[in-house]
Amino acid sequence: MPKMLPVVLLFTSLLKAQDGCPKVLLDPYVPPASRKASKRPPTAGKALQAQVEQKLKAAFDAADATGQGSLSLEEARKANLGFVLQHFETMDTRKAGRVTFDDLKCYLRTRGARI
Amino acid sequence: MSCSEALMMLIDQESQWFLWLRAFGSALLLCLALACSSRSGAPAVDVPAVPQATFQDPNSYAAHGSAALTTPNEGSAVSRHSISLNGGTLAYTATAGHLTAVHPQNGSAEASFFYVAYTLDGAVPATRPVTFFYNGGPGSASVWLHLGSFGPKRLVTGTPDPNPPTPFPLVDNQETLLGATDLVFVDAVSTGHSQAIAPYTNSSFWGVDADAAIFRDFITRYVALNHRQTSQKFLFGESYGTTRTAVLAHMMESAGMRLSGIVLLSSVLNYNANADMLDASGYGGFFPSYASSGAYWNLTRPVPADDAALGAFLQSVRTFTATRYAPALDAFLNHGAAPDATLFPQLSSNTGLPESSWNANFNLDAWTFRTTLRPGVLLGRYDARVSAPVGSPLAQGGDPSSSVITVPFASALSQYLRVTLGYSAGSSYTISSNAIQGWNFHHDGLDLPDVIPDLGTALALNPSLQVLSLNGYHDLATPFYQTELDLARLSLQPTVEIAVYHGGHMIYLNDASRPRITADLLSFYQRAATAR
Repeated sequence: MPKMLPVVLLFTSLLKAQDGCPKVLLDPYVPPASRKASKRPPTAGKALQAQVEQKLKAAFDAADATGQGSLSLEEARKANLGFVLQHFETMDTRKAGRVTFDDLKCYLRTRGARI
Repeated sequence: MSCSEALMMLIDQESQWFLWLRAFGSALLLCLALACSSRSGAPAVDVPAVPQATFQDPNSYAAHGSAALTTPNEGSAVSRHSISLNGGTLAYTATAGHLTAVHPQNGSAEASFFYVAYTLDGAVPATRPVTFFYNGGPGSASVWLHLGSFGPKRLVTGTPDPNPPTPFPLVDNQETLLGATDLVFVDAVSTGHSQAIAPYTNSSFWGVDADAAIFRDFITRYVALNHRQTSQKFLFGESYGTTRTAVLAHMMESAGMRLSGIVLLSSVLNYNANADMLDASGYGGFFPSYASSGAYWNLTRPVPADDAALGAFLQSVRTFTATRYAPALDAFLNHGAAPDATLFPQLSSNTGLPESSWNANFNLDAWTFRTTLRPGVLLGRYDARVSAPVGSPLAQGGDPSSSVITVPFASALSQYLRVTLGYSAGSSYTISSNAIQGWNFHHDGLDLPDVIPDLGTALALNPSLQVLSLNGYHDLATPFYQTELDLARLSLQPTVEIAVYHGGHMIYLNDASRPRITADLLSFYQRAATAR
């Protein structure tokens, strides 16, 4: 008999006695009600790159409070886009005080991003 | 429905899964003879005085979804230790306590995070790397990585022995990463001693996005308080912790907190591709893990004689899976196409299961594999090398490899926090909460998370980000081949590396693998140091 078994059994019964509901940990695990698989095949290659670009664009657009298609330093700060804040000067090649999504994309490409 | 009824339903519906015992309680005073760490010995460097202090936290922390803390504190216990390592001595400070995660935009206090940090004495914080470790679940405390993997102390588990001596001895860890990085083990909200702060409740952070965001906010607080802004930063997550890592890495890079590297241990990066997370889905991604497990039990034909032979064997199994089994499975599941009978001999020889099993169950799920590979024996889900006779107490939990470690880890952690680190609270440490039952898995437009695009976005924002994927041959929860397929979607990212080791989900418990993993991790930290 394994040495730890009495401890396990004792402990299991104690837990049940305490609240009737032992906790479960099943990592990873999805409860049956949440098991809704995506019908979309997983993206890869160019489709994944497009998805990455969409994610960046979505964050950019969410920060663009005025809907001008560009961000000011203040808008980037308010949206917690620290990356844009830190590289704002470099991205703002026109020195317009605002950066567009294309500015961001070009900057990321110069750093080696494949988007 | 009562809680216990709900649980029984869960067991009925999901009989291949089972209970991890919530392991904590007053009855668990197993009298571990934990000696306090030696404080003797000359430090290797000129160490500034660090005041030691125990901390009796006045708070009690609750794990349930509606729990909300009203009196958070940032108190901590600080203790000094040393470890003999590679002929030298490392002196370090352990800090165990709470930090408050604050919303970056509205400034509200969101959650009180419990953490244990190990920092090398005498090092300059600004240039010293720091790594944040967490387990997954969701709903698991970080006890497994904390006391099993690469911290300064670890438990001796005897894995894969199903009947190891207990309590597990706690020893100085010769494979600690402390020489390369400071280590911060942090518990997710509702686990350990971590809790949401009112008006938020624990369940406010029970979701893929909310959870990653709150981890970002904890790290922000830790970094600011400890002046680690210029330190190289690393994330180290296990299982669901890898899902968290991908989303968190994207969030951190976006927020301007540059990461140097991330370690993905036993990954689940796309829930839509792991058949065990779904109903009626193809188990092709598991097949190479069935093969390595069959090989471990000497049931494959042939049995690989050594590591080189195992490598060649698994390479051929990957090819067979990709070119023959997976396409046939796809046709079978989606179009009802009868399997090609010529597949059965190889399905059998590669795993050790008879052809009749494959004939009867072409999409062979992991539970069937674990219960039929060796008649009368249940193999572990986390580690298929751990087995127990069907009907034995160890098998009753559904996963012998999980049952065998849970109580010893839980009891050791409680002792360790109180006795060695000097921290205690008014409540017991929560090894696992109910978070998984109430978790919002929705992410990025899908009902179940696919976080490869998050990883891709993090890499777009920071192409120098080093990614290391660590996997176990005998892990039947997050199979290595599926992870290889998931990461391959990123196609030829030069900074992404994948390694597979002997062992299960918690590969670090394997004594033979741990030194190899540490060596690979040290190379990884070296690469990250020069990739800036």
